[in-house]
Amino acid sequence: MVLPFGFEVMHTRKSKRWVARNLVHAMLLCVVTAHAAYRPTVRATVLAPPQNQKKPIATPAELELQKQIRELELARILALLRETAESARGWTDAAAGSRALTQIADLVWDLDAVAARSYLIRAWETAGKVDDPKQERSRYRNDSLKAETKREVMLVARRRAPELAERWLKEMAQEESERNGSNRGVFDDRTARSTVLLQMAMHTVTDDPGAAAVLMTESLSDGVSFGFQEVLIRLQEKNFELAQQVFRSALARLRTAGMMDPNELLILYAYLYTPGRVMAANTSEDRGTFQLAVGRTRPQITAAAQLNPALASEFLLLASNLLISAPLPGTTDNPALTARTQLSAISAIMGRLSEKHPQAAAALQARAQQIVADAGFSTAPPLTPPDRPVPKPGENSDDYNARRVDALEEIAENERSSMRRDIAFANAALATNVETYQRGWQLAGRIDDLTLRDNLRNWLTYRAALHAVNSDNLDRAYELTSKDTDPSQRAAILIVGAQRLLKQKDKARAAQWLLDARTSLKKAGADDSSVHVALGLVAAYARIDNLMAFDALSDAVRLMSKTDLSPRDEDRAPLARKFAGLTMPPDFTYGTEGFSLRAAIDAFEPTEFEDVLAEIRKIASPELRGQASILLSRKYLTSMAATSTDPASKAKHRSNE
Amino acid sequence: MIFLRLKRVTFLLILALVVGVLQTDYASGQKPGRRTRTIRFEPNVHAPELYVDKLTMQFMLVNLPGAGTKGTTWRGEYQLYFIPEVEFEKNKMSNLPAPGSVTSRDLKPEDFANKILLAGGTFKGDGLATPRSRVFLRPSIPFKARIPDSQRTKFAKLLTVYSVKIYDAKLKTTLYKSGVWIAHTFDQDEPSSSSEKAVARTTVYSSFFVAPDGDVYTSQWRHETNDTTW
Repeated sequence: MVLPFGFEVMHTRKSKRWVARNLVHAMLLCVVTAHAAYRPTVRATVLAPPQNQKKPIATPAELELQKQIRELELARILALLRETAESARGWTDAAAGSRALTQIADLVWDLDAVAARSYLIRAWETAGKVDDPKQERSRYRNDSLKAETKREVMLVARRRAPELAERWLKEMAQEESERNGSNRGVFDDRTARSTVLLQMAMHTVTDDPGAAAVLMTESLSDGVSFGFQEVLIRLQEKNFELAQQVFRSALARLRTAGMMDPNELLILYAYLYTPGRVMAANTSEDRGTFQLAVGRTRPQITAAAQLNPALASEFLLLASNLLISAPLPGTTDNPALTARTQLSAISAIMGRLSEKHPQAAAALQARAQQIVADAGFSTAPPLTPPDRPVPKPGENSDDYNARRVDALEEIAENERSSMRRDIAFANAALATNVETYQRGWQLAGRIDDLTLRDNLRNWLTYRAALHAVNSDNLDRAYELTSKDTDPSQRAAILIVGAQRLLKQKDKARAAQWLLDARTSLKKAGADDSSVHVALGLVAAYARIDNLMAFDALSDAVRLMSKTDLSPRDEDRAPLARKFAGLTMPPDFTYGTEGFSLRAAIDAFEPTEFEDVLAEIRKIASPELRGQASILLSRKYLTSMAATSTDPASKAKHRSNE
Repeated sequence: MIFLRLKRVTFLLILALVVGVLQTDYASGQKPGRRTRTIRFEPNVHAPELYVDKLTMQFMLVNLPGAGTKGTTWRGEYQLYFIPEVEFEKNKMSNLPAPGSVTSRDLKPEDFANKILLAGGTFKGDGLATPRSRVFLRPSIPFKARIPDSQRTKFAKLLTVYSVKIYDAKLKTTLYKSGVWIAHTFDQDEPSSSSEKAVARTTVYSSFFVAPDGDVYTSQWRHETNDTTW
């Protein structure tokens, strides 16, 4: 039997009784819904009780009615999620399909465990079909969409069905043993399995450090991965004792299984002495070169070696023994590479080792002398690229950068080909600091290619304006906005500025900025950037004006239908750059938020479920529509759990928040 | 995390500067060496048999997201130089990694005083839906006759200077790339060549690929014209 609004009911005696009973309640609900069918702001005015008036105590009949209405709403959401799960079967984007099924499984687990389990199993199967994009392998770090998708499934499985998680981990281990592990970046984890385990550990470390420690220890069966120290730092923030236990497990692993390569030692060394900064072994012929990974956020922990010198001492001795007993480079496939990596590790630990264990240090020094010839280091002085001048003693980074920009400008001036000259000027402009954007403008002004010149100038302005917002210099940001001719970028600046103004409780000015943003966005073409900016506008408006937020949502949905928006829902302000291939500085929108589909949907109240659903039903892409439906359902279920009087229900749904 | 490759003595100073450069360096991802045959290095060996009469330059846009989208275009500029072996060695370029490696960005034609310009020009194209339509050939570049016999040695080099501008109408992004390739005068890619016997190079390749995320990959290795994968 098919009911309105997508309900389906099985033809059993029991179900017929259920229908008969609930049709009455549904009619009541219709009356309530019809009454509330005005625009949200109007509804708010009509239904909101006067502020100083005492809330009347509900009668048992009213409470019963409320309960039945909630049951109907719950059924409505379950039907929506079921519909989305069925739809996800046919999605062409396997990662989005797996993610959707995982989320649905998690959401409905407490309500329908059998269906949820089947969704989760299907999510795992779908994750196996994810193809990592065919692209160049980075020699530093490679992220895998497949591993990330599997991690999301595993996270839910671990919580909801541990036996499934265990089975799938074994599957992954089996796959790893069949896979050729070559072609790794220097900062890649050992295996996809260790990546998944460490990501899961990172995800759980805040709420459950013990579980994170178990996952980290499990990851060690594939060796010490780059991500290991990152989670270890987070674990130390929560519980140093546990962190030490896990570190000792790593030492035990090295002691029993041996060292796979010296990078394992460098990772552990980084945790002990330089948390947040990991050096990778040098593989180049220039002995003075090394590769360093630095976290964006400086860890707020004391170095473990300082807190527990004995642990550090134990590590140093073990590292020394492992390096001394490592195979001689001459016996390996690539003697030069082996010698260089071993020498890197020796060089890193030598200073500390000499202090703690002079005899071991002497032995290791002898070993270094023994293998240095194998490394085949170049004796010629290293070449200094013309675009990277040698730093002067005592020169600070700003001064150095100014000199470097000058050098790049000179290179550009000497270029004869017009296209190469333009590219060289663009690279010089991109090398400027955010504070020296005017120098960047000046360099961009020397580009002949009009498109590149304008796009680059806008990009520099966008970066400077966001920096101004971040520095609370909102007047400067507004002034810069007028110089950016890209409508999406301009709107993004205004939205980030409005978010800041709302934090400062300046609603009137924020509303003006959002109005300007909306006007600007109307001039933008449909692309990924403009959609994210439109979603940012929705989320920001929802904090001050519901009516405008709904209008903005309609606009965003319209834009969405004109683009192939990726289901990867970035929450940062889009970079909105119209050029690529040049030497780009790091993402300057890092730290911004509120530009995702999730942010837009989360901004509405649960009571606006039907209105939001009506809008998202218009999204053309099934993946995005499904994703939006899940976000909306999650929002509603979370709120339902939060307002429930049943503490168990609250606890069950806390994870959804 | 941010990944850096730094000089030990200077990393504190230049840390902030190098981030972007190096991130892009790996992100732009030039194709790692492949199918390279090991040819024994023999300095200044006279090898006129490795010099064909006419060279061909092939520029190929292997694939891009907006290949079938109206409005997608590409254009490029190029020069092809011959660098005598003695000149190459004199400039201490032997410190540089082998031809085909990724660090050739630091080279400029101006580094070599005694170079010979073999060819130069521009190209452009639109309607890039088929692999064939994304290939630009510059055939019949006089080669052997342009090189003095004394300079026809085995380890002389061919230096390609290129710059391309690609507008991908699907990504709505303009992509720019410029660089320099160094190639041997013999063909390391030639399947018929044995590990010891060098075969004369007939074609100088430059291939480009635009990834769905807008990254541009470049390569100087042979790429079959009907192969749209990277």
